[in-house]
Amino acid sequence: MFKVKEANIGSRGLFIILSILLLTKLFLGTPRAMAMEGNSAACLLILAATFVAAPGVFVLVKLLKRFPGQNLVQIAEIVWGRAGAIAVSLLVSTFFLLLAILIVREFAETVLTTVLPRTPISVIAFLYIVAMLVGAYNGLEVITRTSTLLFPFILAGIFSILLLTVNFLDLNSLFPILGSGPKTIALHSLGRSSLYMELLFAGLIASNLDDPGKLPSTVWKAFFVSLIIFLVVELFYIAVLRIGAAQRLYIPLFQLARLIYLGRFVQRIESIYIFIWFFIGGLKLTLALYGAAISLSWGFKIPIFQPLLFPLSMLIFALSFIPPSMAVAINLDSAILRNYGAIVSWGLPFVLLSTALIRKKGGGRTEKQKAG
Amino acid sequence: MAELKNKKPVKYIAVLLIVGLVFTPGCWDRRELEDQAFVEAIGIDLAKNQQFAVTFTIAIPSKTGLGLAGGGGAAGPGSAAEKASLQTTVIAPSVPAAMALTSAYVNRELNLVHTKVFIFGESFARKGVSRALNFLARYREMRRNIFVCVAKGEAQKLMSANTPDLEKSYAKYWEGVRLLRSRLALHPGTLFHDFMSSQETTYKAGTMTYFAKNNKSQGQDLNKLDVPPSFKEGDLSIKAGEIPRLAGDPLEYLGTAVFKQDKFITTLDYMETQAFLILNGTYKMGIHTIKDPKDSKNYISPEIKQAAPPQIRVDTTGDTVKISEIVSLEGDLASVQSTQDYATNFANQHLLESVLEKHLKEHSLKMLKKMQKSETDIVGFGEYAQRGFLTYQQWKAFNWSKKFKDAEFDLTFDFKLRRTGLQGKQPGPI
Repeated sequence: MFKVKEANIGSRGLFIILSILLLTKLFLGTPRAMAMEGNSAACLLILAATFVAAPGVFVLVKLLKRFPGQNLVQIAEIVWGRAGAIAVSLLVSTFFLLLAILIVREFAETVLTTVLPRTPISVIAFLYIVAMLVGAYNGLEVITRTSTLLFPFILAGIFSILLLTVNFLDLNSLFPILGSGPKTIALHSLGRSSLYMELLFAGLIASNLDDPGKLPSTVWKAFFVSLIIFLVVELFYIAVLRIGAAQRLYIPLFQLARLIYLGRFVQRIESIYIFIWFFIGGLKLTLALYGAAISLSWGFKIPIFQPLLFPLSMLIFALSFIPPSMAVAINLDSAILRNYGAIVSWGLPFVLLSTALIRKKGGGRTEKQKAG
Repeated sequence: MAELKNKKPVKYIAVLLIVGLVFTPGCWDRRELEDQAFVEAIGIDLAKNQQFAVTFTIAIPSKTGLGLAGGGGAAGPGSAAEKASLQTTVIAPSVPAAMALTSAYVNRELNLVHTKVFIFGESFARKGVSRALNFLARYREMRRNIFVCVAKGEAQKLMSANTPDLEKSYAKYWEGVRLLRSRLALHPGTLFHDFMSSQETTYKAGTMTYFAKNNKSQGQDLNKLDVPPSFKEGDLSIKAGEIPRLAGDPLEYLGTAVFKQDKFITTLDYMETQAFLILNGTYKMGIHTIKDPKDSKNYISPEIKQAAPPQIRVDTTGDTVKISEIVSLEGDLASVQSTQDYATNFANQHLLESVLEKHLKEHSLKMLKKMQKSETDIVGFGEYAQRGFLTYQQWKAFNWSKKFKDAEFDLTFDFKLRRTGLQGKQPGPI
């Protein structure tokens, strides 16, 4: 049986990399997009989007449970055959490739806008590309270990920003309670269910887990922990910056960090947060590149994925410059990837599971379970 | 083999360090401290043809004496801050354009990361400040926690008249001015963030700290000073530029500049400002002076603190909006001029409490009536009113500023005299 040469990770590592994949969007345009669409009820929009995403996550988990120890490409091969596996691997690879392209561009643009205005964008993007190339080359285990090491700092960074801006908090900004109205919220919640679209990554590395039995609970754990963090950050974002600014500011957490002023000695400390910003951006990019490469490896039965990384990185680097401006890049992310990404994340597992049920495929035990 | 394996990490670390060294100078964004001109304050006035007259106060760190043994600055007359800064005004169509032109004669690139204050000249503010606000919101070197004020007359003239006696730098001076908001409630101490919040919402009008030059402050004769009529009643109903005094920095910061949308429309004096801050819950502490209720020839000055956040309720169900607010304050006696006993005589204490409550309520209602006339809800009652609406569309259709104009107020002041200073009965023969 074909297998890509890759190490396994534990359920804690899976939880951390899924959380990093989900939480990175808080550093980019998502809080602003939520405020624009939900107005003062942006938190309600997050809740509504979560309700829409939950069945999608349920289907993904159900599918992975039905095929324990198998990833999405392997499942596609069992259900649809070789052609199906290649198609799924191309689809998933494109999904992560698009994610990486837009994130490289957005992170590079925000670095330029805030701290390094004179540095050419190609240099910033190149540094990100090098970081993600090195990370992805070392494989899943190294990415997971690095993520585990940095995750507490990332969480501490997010929560300390909220804590240190609490003196600006005005909960009246969360009213009118239904914001842009129930109809608008319901409508936008469909697209915004893509808040959790990166959970698809769990399906991609399902074959590289020490204990595949823990995968469903780990995915749900990442889902609920991220929901709580999304809600808390959005609440602070709107209550601290007020709805008008919340709808206009490009770099939400950085703007909050710039507000910190606790007397003469605790101010201008956003530079500390730039490191966290770099860490989480670098990790997400690494995971996205890894996702794009490993998906192709499984699809085209390439036993080592490393040779794919360099061409894919160059592709990401080149394509990240296609959007002519920062506004276009943000718009592409917000309007296309964040609105329609859910179709891939929830649609693909749904179609796979439906076919598996109809064709009565899967439902077996893992090799470990069999051995036990 | 094992030896080779052990050498690998060292090799990697060495390569990493060498590559890292290439990036340490900062490359394109390297900016040495001595190549930059740090702006401490920016003033904006209206020049001819709708141009900006931008005044920069630029720090001259070598002359501040900071960090030197003994702390001495440049010698000679004038304040230390004045000597340690350069003030220049340039006319340009925008602030960034003014920065570029200024760099053409100060031989350094202007840097705004340490800017503490943005001062709008009166005529500029009356025409609307949104043209300049956009720069504050957008430019990467500006922060939302910058202090914003309105100057009586031209900002440039006020800034050049500013000679702080106690500070070595204008940055420190402006920080101190802002701090007085919470210490003595002299002015609202508005940050750009607060002002922008009012500009971007439909429920609150904006305010800024009001500055003015006191033209009579540099006189020599005490007898030539005019006593404001309100002082007779103990009321400090004056604003910046009107403090009867001799000597000191000619610049004063007292009172509030009120905005309707982005246009400066009127001012609040010291008493009105205190009432405004008490009602909106940002009041921390301040001095009030009233006539002694038992001896009208003398005055009592209690130090008043906020005891609890105000409780505001806005009823929007009827034809007229009904606003009720309960204000809880407490105080300490700072001065009693008469021989009346307010320390151990509880009847006197209760009398003083009720007189103060009445005094504060009258000033608050006077201030609110003034704001109703101009349809500007500076207190932010609208924030509470919008809680009664389910959607933003419903709230917008309610048209708060029009409704605020005819709103009815029910103010309840609860003042408790908690302490009477360091002594009990009045001093005198036993």
